[in-house]
Amino acid sequence: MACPGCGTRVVVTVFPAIERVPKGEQPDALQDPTEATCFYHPLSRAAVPCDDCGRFLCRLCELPADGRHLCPGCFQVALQTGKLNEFDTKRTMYDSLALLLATLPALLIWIPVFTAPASLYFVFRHWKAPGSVVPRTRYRYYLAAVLAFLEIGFIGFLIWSAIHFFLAGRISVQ
Amino acid sequence: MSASIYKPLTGKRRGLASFSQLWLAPDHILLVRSSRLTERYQRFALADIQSLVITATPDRTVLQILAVITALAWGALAVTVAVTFWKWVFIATGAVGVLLAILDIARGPRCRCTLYTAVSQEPLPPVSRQRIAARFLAALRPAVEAVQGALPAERAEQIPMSSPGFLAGPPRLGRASHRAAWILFSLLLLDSVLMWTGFRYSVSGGEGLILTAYFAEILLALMVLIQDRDHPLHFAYLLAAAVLVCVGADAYATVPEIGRRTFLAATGAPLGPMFVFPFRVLAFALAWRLTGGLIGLGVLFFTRPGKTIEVAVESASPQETAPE
Repeated sequence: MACPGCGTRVVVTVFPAIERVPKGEQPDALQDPTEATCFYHPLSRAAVPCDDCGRFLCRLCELPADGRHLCPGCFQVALQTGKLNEFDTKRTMYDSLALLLATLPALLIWIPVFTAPASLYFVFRHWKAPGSVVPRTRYRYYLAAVLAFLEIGFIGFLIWSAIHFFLAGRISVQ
Repeated sequence: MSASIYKPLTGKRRGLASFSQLWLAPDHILLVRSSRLTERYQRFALADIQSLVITATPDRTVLQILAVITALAWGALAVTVAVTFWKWVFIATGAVGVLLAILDIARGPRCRCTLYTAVSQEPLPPVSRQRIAARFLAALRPAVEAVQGALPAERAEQIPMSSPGFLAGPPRLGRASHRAAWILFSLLLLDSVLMWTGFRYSVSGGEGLILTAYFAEILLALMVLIQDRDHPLHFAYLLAAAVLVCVGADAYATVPEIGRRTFLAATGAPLGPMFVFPFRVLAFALAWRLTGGLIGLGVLFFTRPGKTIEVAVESASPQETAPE
């Protein structure tokens, strides 16, 4: 269809969720005083225990995450420690960082003295760190490590050559 | 590497140092925005997706043809230079320009895609071409319908504006920031001050300054002409066009004198003070810059972002439908 105002062509695809009224979970009321109650709501019937701390939770407090049921406290802790893959909103790509440190500074001679070891540090320190959420190969780590070793080898060779010629010059002068 | 639950929904939409991409999981879609060193994720549950709106953006055929012609003209500069190195520089850069312009044409018409849930309206940058949008819809629709069920076409057309999904009303149309226009009108004021100072205190060696000012004003006016053509008041567009005309008039009056001074400087002849133009030339240059700058900044201030265009929509009470 076209916008009646500007005539721009618009394609709208509608799904059944558009007619659904958003509704949150409601806790079940306590029917019998002997029933287990929610840790946070003493008047609500417990529905499930927290998979981390074991506290009883009503339907309102139960938070499903990564196939588990967590209480709000454990959910917050898991979120802060990055244990919930499903809720990850940001990740650092250490492999790209290592590759960047191994490649771009190589255009200059002296900067790799610092960046090549830094690249190796990121490669070994974060080798097992969770990478991207989506599929991603590890070739950047391998490439960064190879380049960093080559740069360090080259710098080492330069230093060795300088010392060698310096000493050779002194001997010939004597 | 463990098997991932994600399958690519679109290709990467690349920027200078970033990209974005959409992935499909069994129960949600994932929008990845990457700055190469970090990735940010947004997830949309398939059960929560209410609608997808794909809007065709204005046709750019003329601009694309202009880009090809400009790149060809740039490459053709190779015949005007004698040095082989510069010949190849012009040919190579011109060829790259032509290639980019042709690739842009080959990728087809552009569009914008927005995903609506009950609580958010999220633009999906990777869906930037109509061809990609068709593939994206073809892949996403069965996945969403597997979770939500299908909505018959006749039912979709009957959905009233009072449905819960429409309660928020149409999207708020935020005005663009018009950054180039802010800079242009500020620069006009600054240039008027510089010219007055140069005239008042007989500054010498100001030729480069004047030419730089002309160049910056022309460049910014062209940027405004390209960026602000959709502005509802069209004022920035008109003012930028007026700026181009006035800079042209200024250049016509001053460039011959600047050229003469440059020639004298090259030959080592003594130069007098700068700004020896007739007073009417200076008065005109000052007046239009001052007036245009003040009017432009004033209008930009009173129509700045944050004052959004509200579109009123009547909404009745929401229809109660049983959740699935």
